[in-house]
Amino acid sequence: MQNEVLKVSLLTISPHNRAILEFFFAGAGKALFRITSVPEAQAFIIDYDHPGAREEWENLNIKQSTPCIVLSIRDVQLPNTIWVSKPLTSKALLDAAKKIQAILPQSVEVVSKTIPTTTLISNKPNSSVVIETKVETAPEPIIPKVRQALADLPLNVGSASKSSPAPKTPEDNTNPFALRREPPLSDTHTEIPPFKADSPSTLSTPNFTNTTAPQPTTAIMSRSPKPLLVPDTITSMAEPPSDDDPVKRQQRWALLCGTLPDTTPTNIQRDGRIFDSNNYLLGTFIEAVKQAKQTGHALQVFITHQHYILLLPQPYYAFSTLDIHGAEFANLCTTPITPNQIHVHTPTEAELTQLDVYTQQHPNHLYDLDACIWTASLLTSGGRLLQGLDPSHFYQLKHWPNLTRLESIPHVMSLSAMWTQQAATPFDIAKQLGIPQRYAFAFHSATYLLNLLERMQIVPKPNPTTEPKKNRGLFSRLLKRLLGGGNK
Amino acid sequence: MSVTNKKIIFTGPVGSGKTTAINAISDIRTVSTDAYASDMTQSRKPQTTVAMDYGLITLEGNERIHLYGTPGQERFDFMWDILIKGGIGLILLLDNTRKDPFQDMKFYTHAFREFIEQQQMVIGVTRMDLQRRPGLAEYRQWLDQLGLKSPIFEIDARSRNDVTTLVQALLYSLDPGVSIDE
Repeated sequence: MQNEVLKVSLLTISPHNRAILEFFFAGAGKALFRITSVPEAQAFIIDYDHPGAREEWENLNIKQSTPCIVLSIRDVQLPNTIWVSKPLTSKALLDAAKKIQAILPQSVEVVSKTIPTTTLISNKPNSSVVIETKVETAPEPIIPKVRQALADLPLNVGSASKSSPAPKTPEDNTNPFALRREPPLSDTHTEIPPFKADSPSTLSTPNFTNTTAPQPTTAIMSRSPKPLLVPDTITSMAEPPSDDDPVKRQQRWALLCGTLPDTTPTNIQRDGRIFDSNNYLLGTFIEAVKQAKQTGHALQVFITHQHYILLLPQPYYAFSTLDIHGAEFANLCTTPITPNQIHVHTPTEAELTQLDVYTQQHPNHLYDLDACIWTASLLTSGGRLLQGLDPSHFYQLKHWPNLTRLESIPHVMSLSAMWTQQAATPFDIAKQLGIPQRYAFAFHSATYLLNLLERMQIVPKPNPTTEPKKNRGLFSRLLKRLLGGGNK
Repeated sequence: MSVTNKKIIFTGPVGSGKTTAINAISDIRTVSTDAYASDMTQSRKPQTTVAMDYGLITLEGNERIHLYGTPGQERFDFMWDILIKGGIGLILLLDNTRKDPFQDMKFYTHAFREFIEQQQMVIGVTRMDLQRRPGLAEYRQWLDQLGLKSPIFEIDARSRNDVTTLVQALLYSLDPGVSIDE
């Protein structure tokens, strides 16, 4: 059976949907689609819900009239496009290919293939070998033909013209690289989807008798496509607050790292420099993160009756209805919890669909998941060490934290560098760097919960890395210059 | 009066943001030797760096930090050895939207292996806002596979703060005891 292959180019598409498409193209869609470059494409495929996709399509559509398969959870009616609803199905994609073929002029490339029975086209069993490829030369310009075909198109795609585009959503004018500030959700929490905070918990309630340190979350991430509609990326994700105001910066650091004076290894317990994360929101939150990562499923952690943090392990986001840089969240993190205060809920598919829409409407409440863990850990620690981690043991950083997307704390660079290059106790690190212990302790707690810090079994040799290096003076002046304190 | 000259090298594949990153922190308008691309680079950007980018940070007391960006295309790799001479460290930028960022990481860390062992390297992953995966966890696993412990961050090459963080991490990696108060 002769079968036309549609040469398509994938434009902006979320990794999740790209994975689905690639799986489809390698199997059931193999006989109908071939991935090609933009100039060669007979049609495009775009994930219209993905940030920047609309702008890309509008720009391309101005320059050339190549038709496009538009993937979206909403009905998209644009000229020169075929809408395919998400979640994607093989049937919808096969139908879309046929519709696109119908509006194209004579095919410029014909591939004769025998199709396996599983591809719905051929009834010949066990015949899946490519027999022949024939490329015709000098194809005619297709744009006029496509335009003509579109005019005659019996599909519901030509109703909107370029002069009257489809109604724009609030994200339409978003510069994909610009950050946008919206009012905190805490002011508008009546919009929060009506998921009840008293839903049955899927995790055990915090164990107040547990005195061991929580296990750091592992990097297990499910790769299997699943009908989670939350996008893989939203460009205007919340970023750490600016620290231009020195007074506010000091106040924030005092919240994140506490104000406790130094202590000694023997007095650490007596002086209250140890905390049990299970007594705080942090314990349940970390357990939920761990479970979300292991299963690949979104989880909703209700931190109050009105507010929740939605954990999205696949695109690695946390959506918090409370501003995690605000006073209310800080208060929640630093106050010991009461039994049954925190609920963890696994959203249903229908709830996920609603949450998906809601998160896209409030991108400024999306955080990098690590940034959320980092801030919650620091706030809870307040310059104390996690219970269960012996402060006399040697620890070493496996990797630096992602400092461009995490809230800054004093000495975070030197702590990262020193603890990557040598194993040391929290006391030794503070002493070597000549900094208050609370910063080393807070950093120790947060990096451990990010699974970046590990305990070393072998006592390392001392590493005199704080000895002045050859270029220390120059480096200091360069640092000062870069951070705005130096002269040209 | 003598002049102190030091170099920081920016490298990475075509379109990873080297020119933009240098521009974000340079005191001078970046000197670029861009030309219209005639090869596969066209699909990523119309113009590309064919020799090098140059930026400068001037400190008080006649101290200069020269910022050099290597050309991204591999056929200009003969330039790389020339550019890294006298460099204090390497900043590798990787584009998360490219087909195989791990191959890019392998390629560039292999190409600059000797320099990285002698100095330090910091990695910035660009365009993670456009494509979240692979995530930093995967990049860290790849670094482990390559036996490297370099700092790695998600960055926007246009952001002065992000590029400054890369340079800070490089300086602290070279000397963890360095301080702004020296």
